[in-house]
Amino acid sequence: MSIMEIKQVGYSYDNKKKVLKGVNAEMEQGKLYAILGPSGCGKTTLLSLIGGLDSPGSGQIYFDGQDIAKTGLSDHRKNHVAFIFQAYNLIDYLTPTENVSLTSKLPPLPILERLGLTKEESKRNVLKLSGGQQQRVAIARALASEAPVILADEPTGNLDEDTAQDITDILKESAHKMNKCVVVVTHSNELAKQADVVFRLRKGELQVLERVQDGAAQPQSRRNNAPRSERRAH
Amino acid sequence: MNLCKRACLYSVRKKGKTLTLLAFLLVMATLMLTCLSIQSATETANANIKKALLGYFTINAKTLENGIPEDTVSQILAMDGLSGRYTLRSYTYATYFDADGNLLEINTEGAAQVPEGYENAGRVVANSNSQEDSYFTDGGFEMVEGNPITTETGSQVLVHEKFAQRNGLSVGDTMLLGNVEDKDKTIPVTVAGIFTNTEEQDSIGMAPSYDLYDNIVFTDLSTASFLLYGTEGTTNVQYGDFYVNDPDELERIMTDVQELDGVDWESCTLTRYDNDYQNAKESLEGLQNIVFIAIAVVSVICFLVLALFLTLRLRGRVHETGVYLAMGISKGSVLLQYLLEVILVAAIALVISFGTSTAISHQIGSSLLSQVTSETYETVDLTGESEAAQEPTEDLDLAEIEVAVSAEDYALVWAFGMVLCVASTALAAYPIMKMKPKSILSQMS
Repeated sequence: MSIMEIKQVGYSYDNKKKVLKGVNAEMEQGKLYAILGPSGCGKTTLLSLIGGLDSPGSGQIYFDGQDIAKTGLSDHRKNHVAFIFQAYNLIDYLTPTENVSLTSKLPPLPILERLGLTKEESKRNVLKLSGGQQQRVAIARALASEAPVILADEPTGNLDEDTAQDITDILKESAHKMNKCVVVVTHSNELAKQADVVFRLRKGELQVLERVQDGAAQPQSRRNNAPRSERRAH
Repeated sequence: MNLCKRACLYSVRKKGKTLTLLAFLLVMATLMLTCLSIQSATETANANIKKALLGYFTINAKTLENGIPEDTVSQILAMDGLSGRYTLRSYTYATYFDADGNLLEINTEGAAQVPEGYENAGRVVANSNSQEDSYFTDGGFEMVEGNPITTETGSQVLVHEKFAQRNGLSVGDTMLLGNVEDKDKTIPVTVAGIFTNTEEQDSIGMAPSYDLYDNIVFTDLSTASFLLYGTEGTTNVQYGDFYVNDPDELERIMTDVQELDGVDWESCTLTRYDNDYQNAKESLEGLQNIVFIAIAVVSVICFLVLALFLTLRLRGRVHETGVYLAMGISKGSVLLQYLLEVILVAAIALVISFGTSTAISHQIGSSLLSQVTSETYETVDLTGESEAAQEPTEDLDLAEIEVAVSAEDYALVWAFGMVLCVASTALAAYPIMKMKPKSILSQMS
């Protein structure tokens, strides 16, 4: 049962350059999705549309069967999705615990400790933490929000290999153990290899790629331009 | 975490920015309160000047054959805008006799020569209350015995101590005042009191005998009217000073007086006396204008600088705004947080400003006001109008006016400060708030 459904979504910058051309996709809870694609192909734009940061030029995005444009983008952002950014985007005058408390009434410390931060680190200014620690705080903030969908834009882009793997593991765990729908925009084949489903965005169209063990993902024989229901009809 | 907590944490953790804003708001609030308290003090000073330097007009019937009729005076007194205070005056000369018609002796020692018929005459001063005559109000004369003369006392006189001694007169005795030109026209009067002069007469040796202090007699208006115009049963006067409640209304009232029926304006003059007030008012208005301009300039600068300061501050918080919006926190909530941060600091600045402005306004305000006050006193001394009109100037106590921050001014600055915070924050946040969350996040990346 898909929690997010993208139907014929189109988007263009300033009504000129068309970056998304009738994109279709379905995403389920409990899975890690990776979206690959060259720079400027519209990956982040697609993530913004899924997260309700912007409205598509055409098509619809559904959360749990309801059009988010009708239920309200602000409400969608507040209750359904949580963002993780490449630059962490923590509030610099708050401690990790306070950053996590921004989105949740749950006690922040257990979540932070589960993600590897000590009690002492959790009370420091966020700017005094390492990049990996800051990204863990960002993930903790996303997880604490209890949103079923986590949208991560290049979450390992600024991290070294080992830390990137740690973060990937946390994202996988969030999907598989915490039943989140985790959508990751990335350039990292390492991360993509560990995703349950890999999409490739190219020339405004979204394709589902077959996962391969040698590193590079290959396009599947069927394209994912039509909604699943339509594909089934064929 | 609610917006109040976020605002408090920002204000506490971003100490540099908070202190900069606090310092700026404190300076502005202090300047504003200082200006307002000086303005209030000048308004009080202006009100005091109105009270102390009452404007008045005088009707002078010098060439009017029968003086100013009693009914004209009644009509004037019934007009709107008059304070109810007035002085009616007449001056003439009379020959003094005892009750049996014998000439009383006057002082002629060292006096200048007098016209024929005036050898035994003295000056007769009459007004509605002898105590309000400038001879007494200036302290030149003082009562030794008896009571002053008013309109209610009937035909009475006050005589000089030496004149009384010379002629064996005492309080309660009767004497006659005779018309200098018509010896048959006399009027009996009772000695109601005896006065003396506290200062020596300056012009002795130059003054005619009838103007020597010893020979002056104070009487009531009715008696003077008889001597001047031969009236009986009605009181005509030579001069009338009429005080108004508000000197700014003087022009209008005088216009109304000139429209009264039955007054021959060809033979009497109407004179305005408010130069002291106008000059004093001019000095104060100068200060008031400066303060008003200062308030306007401070207000505009305050708004512009605060808006600029907050614009720069919020420009550095685009990142934060984008993160909040991505979390689903509404734009309104984010804007309220930013506003609350400014209001928190403004509230502290306003509380402190009460102390600072009280100290500064007392120093600067007192200095400015004393400068204006001394100008005002100089003006009053130079024109000497108040003296001429028997107007005591001791009431003009401008130096005593306290320049302090009133509750009204403080409330006004609070209200203005809050409006300023809201307007400046809204102006500064507008460019960010009109952007879509994605645009803000694009700027971030």
